[in-house]
Parts: sequence; C-alpha cells; structure tokens
Amino acid sequence: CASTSIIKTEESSLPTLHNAEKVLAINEWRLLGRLSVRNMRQSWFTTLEWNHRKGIDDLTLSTSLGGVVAKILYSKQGILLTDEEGVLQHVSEEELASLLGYSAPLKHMKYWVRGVLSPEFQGPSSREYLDDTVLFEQGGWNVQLERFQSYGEVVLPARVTLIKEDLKIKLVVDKWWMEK
Amino acid sequence: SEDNLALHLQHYVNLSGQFTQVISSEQSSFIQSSTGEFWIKKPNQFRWHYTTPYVQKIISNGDKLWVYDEDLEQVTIKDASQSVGSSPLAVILGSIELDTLFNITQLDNSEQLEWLMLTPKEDSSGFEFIKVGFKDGLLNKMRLHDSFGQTTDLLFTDVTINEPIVDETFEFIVPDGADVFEETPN
Repeated sequence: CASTSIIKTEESSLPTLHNAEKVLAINEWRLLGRLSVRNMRQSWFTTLEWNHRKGIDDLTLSTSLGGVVAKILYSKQGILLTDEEGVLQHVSEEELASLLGYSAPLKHMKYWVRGVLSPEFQGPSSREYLDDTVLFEQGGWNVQLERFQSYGEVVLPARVTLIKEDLKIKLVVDKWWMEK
Repeated sequence: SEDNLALHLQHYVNLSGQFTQVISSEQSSFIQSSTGEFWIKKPNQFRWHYTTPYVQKIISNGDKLWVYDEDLEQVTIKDASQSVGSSPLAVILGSIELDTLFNITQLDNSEQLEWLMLTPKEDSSGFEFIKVGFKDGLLNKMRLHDSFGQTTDLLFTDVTINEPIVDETFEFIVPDGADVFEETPN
C-alpha cells in the first residue's frame, strides 16, 4: 500500500458518527507534532514523530533544534527505549515512566490522538460536545480534542489535551500520513 | 583550533539575524524546515524565535528561561542555568570555555566557509558533533548531528554584530490565555 500524505482538505467542525470506524480501519499512520508535558515539578517540550505500523508504535522525541532525546518502540512484546546516547534497553511501563519523568498512557493515546475512544476500557464513555471541542473521560484521564480537520475521508483533532491528577499532556499535530 | 574559534567568537558581544533550520533523518524520509529570528547578548541572554511553520519562542534573560509554543498555548519557565549546557546555543554564546566542553578541530574550508568541528567531551549534549561555518569571520552555518542519524542544518542570514539590543528583547510577556508552568529549582 502506497504511503499517502493526505493534505488537509478543509476545516471541519466535528467528527461524524461513522468517523471512528473509518479512523480505526486505517492500519498504518504517522504523525509529526509538538508535545508539552508537565507534572507537579517538571515540564518537557519536545517534537514528536509517531509511527504506527504493523501494531508497533515507534515514537521519536527530539528538541526544537533537532537533537533526538529518546526513541520508544512500544509493542505487545514490550517496550524498547533508546536514550540520547543511543543506549538501548528493554524497560517496563514503570521503568519508562521513571526514566521519562512521567507516565504517558501510550496504550490509550494511540486512540485518543486520532480522536477515538480507547477500546481498552470497558463500559460506555459519555462524550460532551462544546463548540468544536469533544470532551470525555476514560481511566481517570480527562481527554479534550480540539481543532478538528478533515484528512481525506476522516476527521482528526489537531490538538489533544490529556489531564490526570497533576499530569498534563498537550499535543498539537502538524502533519498526518495515513495508509489503508 | 580552539584559538581560531575563540577568535571568531570574540568578534561580537551582540549578535542578531535570521535563521533557516532544516532537520533531516537517515531513518525516515521526512524533512522538517522552519525559519525564525535570533538575538544573542553575551554572556547568557538570547532569544530564539521560530516564526514558521509555527511560532515557538525560547528566551533567556540570564536568570530565567521561557519556552513558549503558540499552538500548545504553553509557557514553561525554568532556571536559566539549565538552558545552555553544551547545546549549540552555548557555542554561539561562546560564554563559557568551549574547549572544556568540546574537542575542537579545524576542518578544510568548503562552501567558501571556514569550518570548525566541536565534539562534546561529555555525552549529555544530545549531539555527536557540531560543525560551525564562518564566512569572513561571521557565523554563517551550523550542522548538528546526533547519535540517531538526525541532522540539523542552520543557515544564518542578515547577521549583524554589536548592534545595540534592548534588554526587553530578552524578557517574555506571557500572552493571555496561555498555560503557564514555572519549574521549581531542585
């Protein structure tokens, strides 16, 4: 399947009912964006490249000047972390959280960044629509999706905010690539 | 080579201009390019302002460091002492003894520039090497290469040296509605 860089077609308001099905039908995608994370004491700003391919999530975090600070390979087989000196290590979720300084809910984020509910949670999740923002709660995370844009036949948020206790994660997406 | 670099860096106390930044990676096909403006006032004041494709400001008045991203509507404030370390800005600021942080070697001239290569003595800078290109003694290009095969090329244009820069340039006024977070020093 050819890699298509779908160019933003036009501003859209909110995702339609069938949007989630169409989004989840897309098996391989890639995004380039900017991430800010803060907990009670510290904060981080990074550029994020997220490559989802064959069920594996490959995340590259780098500074505004381009230096890669970490690469995370996240799959059912576990987590492989490469630090800025290029040192590879298998880590648990807890170890990753202590190394990064925060616990990023990657397993769920890969759904939330595409504007859909994470299927990892049982039971219904009620969604609230406020102007052009979608709000819902899953697993103690307050999820806020904004600035929806059409990309081909799907609608995706360009800004995602996740809040849980004292941790706040914000992502803006600058580019999407999608492959059926 | 250290003397050569010191010679170039001693030319100025103030430096300002425009920059074009291109990030490319051996591992993935995409290229990120951005443009912006910069102001430097030795020993530790700087304003690094990305204007396209998005607005991001990195500003230090020597005490505080502000990092602001317009789309994220996020401002983080840190202690300025953490900001420079052995980063590329440390080279432009030239405010600390670079030869204590880097091994410095002269390279062959190319692209009508005089090139010096700085290799961090410690692994904490995030870059394997920093190449600095001078044209007629003025900073013109930088190439940053990290251990993941990612390369950042910086081209400096409209560079002026020792023009007065008002101190307000190195202060940051938090925009209305922005989410502000000030890190408490450990």
